[in-house]
Amino acid sequence: MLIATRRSQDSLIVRMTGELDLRTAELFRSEVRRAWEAPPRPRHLILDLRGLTFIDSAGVGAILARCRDVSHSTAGRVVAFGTRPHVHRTLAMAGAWRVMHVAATQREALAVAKGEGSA
Amino acid sequence: MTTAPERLVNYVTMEFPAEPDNVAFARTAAAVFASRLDFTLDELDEIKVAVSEAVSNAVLHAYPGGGGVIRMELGVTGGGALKLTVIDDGVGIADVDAARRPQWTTRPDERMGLGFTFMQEYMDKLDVVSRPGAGTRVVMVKAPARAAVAGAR
Repeated sequence: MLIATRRSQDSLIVRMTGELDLRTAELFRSEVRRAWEAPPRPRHLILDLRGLTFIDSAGVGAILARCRDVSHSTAGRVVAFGTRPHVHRTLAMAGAWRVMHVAATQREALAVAKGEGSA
Repeated sequence: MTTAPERLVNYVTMEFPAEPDNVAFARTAAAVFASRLDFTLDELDEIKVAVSEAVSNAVLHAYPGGGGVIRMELGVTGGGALKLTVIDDGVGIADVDAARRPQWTTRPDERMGLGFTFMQEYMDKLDVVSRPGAGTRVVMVKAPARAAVAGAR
């Protein structure tokens, strides 16, 4: 699992490449927390999931925990884009799309985070 | 607690330490074994999730003191279905029915107790046999949907 983070205005963009499971969830958690706490604090979290090839319940739990963090700290939005069909379905089964927005592209994700999108 | 191999047309058995590192190995090995059957790529992904859940459960819960072993049996039934068995000799589950309900978990961590839900949704059949102190055995069966359609013609 590779985690790359960067800022775009008040959004933190996290690009995930590889498989998110019991073993890699901790890296995801620590990398996102570190980037999230770097000043100036971002408000929204964008998850670039184009490179995420696998997710199970441990991975879903790690993502939903980040949604809670964002909701508690800034009341910002979490937007995911680029999910592969089976990753999308596993997230759906866990009810993740009730707390996380979905977008087709990074540009759309940034717009949705700002409240400009429809999703 | 081993499966009678004569009921399977082919099988592979492996044992590995109950370590988080081995979860990815287990699901990849299962997908490679399953790829010999007529599964779609989507179905192989479902199998990987189910194996990941069964093995992660054993890694997280079976051996609180550490040092345990997980046994995984991969088989093809006479009917052409995949049969996966994940066995540990750990502490066992006192209430299997409660454990299988969504949102149930014994640890206040970030996992959501969704493991059994995913196993149930992604496999045709899920059977969990466990007793406190006697370990846990998870048996899952899945037949390729494509083959079932072809066989019905």
